[in-house]
Amino acid sequence: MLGLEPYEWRSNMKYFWYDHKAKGKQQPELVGFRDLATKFNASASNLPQDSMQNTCYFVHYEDGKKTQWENIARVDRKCFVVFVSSKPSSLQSAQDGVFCITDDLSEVANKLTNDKITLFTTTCSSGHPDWSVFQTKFFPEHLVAAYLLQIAKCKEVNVEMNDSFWSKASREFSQVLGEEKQSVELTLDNGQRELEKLFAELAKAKGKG
Amino acid sequence: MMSPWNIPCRANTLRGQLKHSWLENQVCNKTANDVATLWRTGMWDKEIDEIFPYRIDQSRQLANEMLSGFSPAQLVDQLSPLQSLPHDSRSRLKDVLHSTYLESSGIRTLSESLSQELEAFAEEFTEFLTVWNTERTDENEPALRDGWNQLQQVANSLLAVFETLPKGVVLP
Repeated sequence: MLGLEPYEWRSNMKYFWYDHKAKGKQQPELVGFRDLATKFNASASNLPQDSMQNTCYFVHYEDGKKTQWENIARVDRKCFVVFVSSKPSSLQSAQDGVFCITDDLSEVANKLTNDKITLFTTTCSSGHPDWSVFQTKFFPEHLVAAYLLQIAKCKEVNVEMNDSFWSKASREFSQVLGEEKQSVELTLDNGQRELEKLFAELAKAKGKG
Repeated sequence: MMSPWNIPCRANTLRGQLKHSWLENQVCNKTANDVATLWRTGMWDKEIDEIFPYRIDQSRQLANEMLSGFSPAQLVDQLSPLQSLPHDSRSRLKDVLHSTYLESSGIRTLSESLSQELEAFAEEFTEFLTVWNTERTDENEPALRDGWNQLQQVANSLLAVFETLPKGVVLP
């Protein structure tokens, strides 16, 4: 990675695609960098939203000498990408649940059948900045749009939206809170207080922006 | 400053790369011993001669562009529910969201703090370059270590500012 732009050092590596759902049945597939992004995005878009909350690990490859991993609390999608270094020196032994970087495909294949090894990695909006090419824009966009419209309304800029929009925003609102907890019908007229409360709660829960 | 869901934007990607891949991994986590070894072996010449100046330039770019880079105005073109709005409505929305964000977020202060700490870092880096380019002998190594320690001090202040930056599009 040192001295190289992100795309450049990515392109110097070999990439293998591995579908989590086919674990044990499928060999990692050697793909080009751009294919990897395409496959990731295609797979992510086919997954239901309820698969978004999974703990996973993220592998960070740095300068061919060491790897480190970081726990990302919430990963958007259950897609796993295997990153394989082109440098033999980067072979690292892995602890349980920690990904191993290797340049040997058979080594990867062996690990796929080993239940103690979990394969990663995926990226998401909270992921590593060098892998931002894989970022998925996963956030409740009707809800965010509703909030922005409320802000504009406070400044006397009114933008009319149809019922379908407000219905979707209301559904996302409930999903964010947990459906059993609260159901709210948002409109441009009544939504301001509810949205402000919600966003204040979210900001508080995150601790920081 | 509120940025729920860390809504992605280019400014945030750049912020993350500079903070994590450069400041943390390449500066703050490198000890004077590490740097002395890299100096002796010449393994870090490209980093010091090219990459560090490039990262400093990128940080300046972030400081200059972050007012628009984290603005919620960009969401008006990105959010699918708003894409069908007439051009005029979108334009008015962008204006009002951007001005509200500038008023309420404190982003200007952050941008100024970033510029200030960055220039302190750039100045210290210029001094460090002088010792880096001295003859690689035992006699010169203590000066190199001192120079690195001083650079790390200002790097830590710069990192502290980076830690206060938003991690996605800011909502007013």
